[in-house]
Amino acid sequence: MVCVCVSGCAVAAIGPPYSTRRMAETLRRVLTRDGAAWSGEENTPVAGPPLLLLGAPGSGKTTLLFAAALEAAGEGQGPVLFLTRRPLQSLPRGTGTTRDPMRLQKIRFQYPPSTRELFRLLCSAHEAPGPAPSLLLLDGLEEYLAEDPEPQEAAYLIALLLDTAAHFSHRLGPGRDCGLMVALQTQEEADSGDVLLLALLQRYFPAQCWLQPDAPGPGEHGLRACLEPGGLGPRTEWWVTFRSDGEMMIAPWPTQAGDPSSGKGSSSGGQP
Amino acid sequence: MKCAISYTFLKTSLEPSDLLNMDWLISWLFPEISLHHYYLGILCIYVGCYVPDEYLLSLKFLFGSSATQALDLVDRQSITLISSPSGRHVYQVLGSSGKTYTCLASCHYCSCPAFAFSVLRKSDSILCKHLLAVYLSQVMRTCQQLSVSDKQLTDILLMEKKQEA
Repeated sequence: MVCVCVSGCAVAAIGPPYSTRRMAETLRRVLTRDGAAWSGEENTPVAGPPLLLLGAPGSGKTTLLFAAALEAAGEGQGPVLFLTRRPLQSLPRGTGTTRDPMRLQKIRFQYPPSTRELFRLLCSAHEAPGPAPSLLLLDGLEEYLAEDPEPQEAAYLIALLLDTAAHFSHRLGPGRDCGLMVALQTQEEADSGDVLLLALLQRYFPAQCWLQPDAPGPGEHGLRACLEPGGLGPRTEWWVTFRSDGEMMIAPWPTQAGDPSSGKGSSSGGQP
Repeated sequence: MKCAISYTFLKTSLEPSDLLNMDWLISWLFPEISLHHYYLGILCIYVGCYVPDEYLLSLKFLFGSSATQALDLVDRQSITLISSPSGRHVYQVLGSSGKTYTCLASCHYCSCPAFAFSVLRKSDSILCKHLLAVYLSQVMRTCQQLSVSDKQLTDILLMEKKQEA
């Protein structure tokens, strides 16, 4: 067989799927972090399928996003880009390694004040100088989507988020990916528009983590964090509570016999 | 049927990664469908021989009427890959109506009304003819190429937003 490459005909391949579960692994890592337990995972790249964090106001989405940012910033993988509408009211105090100022320095915050500005930021992401981030985070997607309720608008914004992450992956080079994690606030009562939007989001975000008020036993409070890695792994659940000082505590669900506050986490900081 | 495709792509070289990419798409969309016919078709294109009807029939089975329309778009060289020095790229497809639509292949998006309606709203289809044409042109390694500056690519991406506003 003679193979002749026709010059000038390029193939931009469909981006290969992110290696299974790596993004969800980051979240999983955040949620199950237990101090030294993860120190052996130095070289594991962070990215995986795009992940969507969903929950009601105050359910800890921003905290989890920020924890994921700190996790990714500490692995020598490059900077982290954190997009949110308003500056966080307070950064988590952090414990142990998260107190490392080097990690904080690697998180770049940007605050697009409107949907238009967010579009501009994403469309021009390839023009930005400097190293490509290894993790792209967006908090408060619902605020940006609220400005344009048309499904096609929403789809374009989400598609651009994915396309931007794909471009960063390309810039990072072979074997490295830029992960994407987005937080969306959900309402108690979902109307038909919300249902449509959720279906849309589930198309583009194979992995999802739901944060819902729940408790493993009577008289207990907290949230159930339910991670669905997009059919590529088992569903995992955790029990999330906040101490009175705001620190987030995480444990497997249902609570094992013994101390429910055995997990470590970051304090909740400000919630949009 | 569209046997013209086999002539156009006599001189193409196919890398395993191309097969893998489409493989992922097909098995993600239809995990239960056998890829036998698909690979048969790819092999035929590779050796530049007559494309058997079974392959084209498989495409039609998988993608419905979009298949014929997509193959038509590919034949007419309606797909343009726009890339910039940064490496970022976007596809534009000249539709049958004369309108140009923007497609993001990295994440499966098209700006055409059919995508918004049939795929997103109704979930009737999994893709529109423009997206299918883009994927086919990737595998077949044929599309127009356009190089623009980074700034121009930003404007192209932003323009979709403005048009919909």
